[in-house]
Amino acid sequence: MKAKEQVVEETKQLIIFKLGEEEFGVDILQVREIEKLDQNITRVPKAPAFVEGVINLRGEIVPIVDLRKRFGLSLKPIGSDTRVVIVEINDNLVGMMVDAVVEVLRINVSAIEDAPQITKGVDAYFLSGVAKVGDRLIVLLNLDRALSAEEAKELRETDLGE
Amino acid sequence: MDTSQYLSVFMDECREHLQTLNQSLLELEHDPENSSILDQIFRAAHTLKGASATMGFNKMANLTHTMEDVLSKLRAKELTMTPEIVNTLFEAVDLLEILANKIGEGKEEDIEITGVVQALQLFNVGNVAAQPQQERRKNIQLRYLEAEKEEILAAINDNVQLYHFSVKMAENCVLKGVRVFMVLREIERLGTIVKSMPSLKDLEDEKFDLEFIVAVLMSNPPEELAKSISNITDIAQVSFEKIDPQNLPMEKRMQNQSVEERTKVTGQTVRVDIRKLDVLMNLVAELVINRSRLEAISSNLRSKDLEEVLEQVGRLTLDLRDSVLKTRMVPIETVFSRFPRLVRDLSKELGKEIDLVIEGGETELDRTVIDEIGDPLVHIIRNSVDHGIESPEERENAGKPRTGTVRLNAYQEGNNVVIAIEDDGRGFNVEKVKEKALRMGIVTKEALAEMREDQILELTLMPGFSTASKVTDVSGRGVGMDVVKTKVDSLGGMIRIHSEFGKGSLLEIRLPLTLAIIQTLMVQLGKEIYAIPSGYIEQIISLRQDEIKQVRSQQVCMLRGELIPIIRLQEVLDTPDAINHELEELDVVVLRIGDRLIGCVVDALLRQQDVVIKSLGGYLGSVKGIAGATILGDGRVALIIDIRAVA
Repeated sequence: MKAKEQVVEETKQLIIFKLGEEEFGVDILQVREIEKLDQNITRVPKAPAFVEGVINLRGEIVPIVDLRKRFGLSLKPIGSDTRVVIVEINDNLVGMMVDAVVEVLRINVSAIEDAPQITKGVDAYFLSGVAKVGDRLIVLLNLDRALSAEEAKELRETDLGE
Repeated sequence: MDTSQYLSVFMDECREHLQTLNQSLLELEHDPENSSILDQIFRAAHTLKGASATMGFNKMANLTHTMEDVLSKLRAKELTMTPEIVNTLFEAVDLLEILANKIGEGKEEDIEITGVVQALQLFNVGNVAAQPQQERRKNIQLRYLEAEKEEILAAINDNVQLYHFSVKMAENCVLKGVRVFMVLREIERLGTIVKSMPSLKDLEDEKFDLEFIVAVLMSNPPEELAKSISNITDIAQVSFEKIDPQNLPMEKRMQNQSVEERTKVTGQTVRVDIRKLDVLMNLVAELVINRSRLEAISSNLRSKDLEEVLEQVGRLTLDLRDSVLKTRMVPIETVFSRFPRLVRDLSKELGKEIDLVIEGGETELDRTVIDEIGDPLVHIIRNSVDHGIESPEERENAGKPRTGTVRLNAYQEGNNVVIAIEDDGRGFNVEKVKEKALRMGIVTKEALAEMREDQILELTLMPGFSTASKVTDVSGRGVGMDVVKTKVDSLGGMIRIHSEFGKGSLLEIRLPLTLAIIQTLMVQLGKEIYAIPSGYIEQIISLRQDEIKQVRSQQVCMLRGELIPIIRLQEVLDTPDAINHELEELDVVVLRIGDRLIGCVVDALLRQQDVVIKSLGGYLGSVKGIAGATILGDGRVALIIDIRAVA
């Protein structure tokens, strides 16, 4: 915290993870835990293409979304840094497979700006904004959209309709 | 007070009390004199009143309050039970059920209760002054408890004797309390009051009609006391009798005991959210998995001590698993208990005489199954009553007893629970079923010719069989029976029908004990493992590649002289690198789906295994072809195949 006379600025804690060289952030309040991928993912036939499969998270079956697939990025094999960020959306647990988890970062809400149409190759539809932290640019995910099993297009249409 | 968070608790309680009310009212109808049943009804109504008033559901509180008034009069024997009262009470309970449902939807205000409330109030006022009072007076009796008897015996000697003074006030007596006080004072002057009927407190509060009895221990001559009592104003009549202390009228203890027992039973249950049990189940499953990991480590270490402990842990975890599963089990009675009412109402409506016999209500089923099976059973019983059992006249003409019997029975058979619904009604007319099935285009003539009788009867379960307006064409059965079948199928169960025309019919529903655990066959397909529910497996065969023939686009093989379709499971499940095309000998799992057989080719059969079914979760929703998932001993997830998607 800085000087006391200053108005306390609203901050957010983010989990920062990487897809390739790009850094992404999700609100820590939405993250349940971060897991190493030390087990096989069971493929689920007929599931949406970006759903890699399901894993056993201490007795609970949790679907895993490959964010690279979801965002249409080039695919990368699972490595030792690969992590699953387990988030909770609409009371359901979903795991996001990411290249690596970097850190927990506190940012000022005022540092968040709207995302440009295409940010680092990811459609702005999936994003809730970008945050500049020093010379880093953190891309913030809109989890509801990024993980929605519905087709993104359909959602966008209903959004426009509202 | 914001009570919304208590709503679900209230609703649960409400349902329980309504069930008690319904059940006890039925019992009371058969046994109107039984005061312990009446007490139970009263308690239920009373609790409901309190709960609904607290929650601010005024209509429900109002209705239960009026019920309580009538019930308390019945208890105090100020009212005698009549069929009209029972019927009105039933009506009130029905209304309460509707109210409860509306409250669940947040619309209590929509319901009109004044009609029933007024009907109840009529009993309250109308009946009191009427004729049953006369009988009631005779009913006053003084009875003793065991402890009181001992006291009396100790007090009695040659001088002191026990007398019952029965005092009757004048009809127009104004200040009963005062008169009673004077009577009691007079008695106490000459003797000791042991007990009175009604109790002394009730007497002082004027809570009695005109007559009361006082038990007195005294050495003075009773005539003297009787005389001085009768001198008090407004005392119409005084009589006394000497009581033999060895022959004291005793309180019936049986009744008291049974009431105590009942309260005890209800006090021993705990209401638990089923989700909490699911969590517990998950934890136990995890424990089982970790135990097998431990075992693997221990076998490397070759430590005798460790092995011994692990064996213990293994047994404990299995016991733990079974116990958790058992906590999910609910006696099927909870479903059965609503049928006496159903049958009563239906038979009254239809002018039939029907006995409903319920057996095996204690048989336990998984909560999830219990929740689902109620409606199908209602359907079946309704059919039995409506179409199965004939009218009393018809039955007499057929040489049967006037009263028909519907028998509901549940029992466990291996890993299944069988629910049998049997009636001694007119049964199915197989010829008519055939005729109709042909007319509705459900079967071909050729197929029909080869069917056994029970297979023909099962045609009545097919969708479309019962859509015709005149159901009675086919000895009546089949109203929406396809709905019943669909439900039972979805629970992994089966329905069988037996019937003898003119003598009755028997419907058997076979359900898995639990939906949480099923027996499966684990099969390998490429690098993946799938679980096939054993309930669907007809048999397992081994085929050479050249025994599979191609008929147009379909692969088929011969099984017991019949041609059955063959599917490669990997094509249904999009499994990469399945190897069964390259194998010489093929493992084929033959599934029975309805009355069709289908052969599923897999890469390899692994083992039979009881698995805990887990949902894929809300995120994926329902995935076509997959019924759920389960966790294998090594922690991996295996998917359970939904057989219906294969068909």
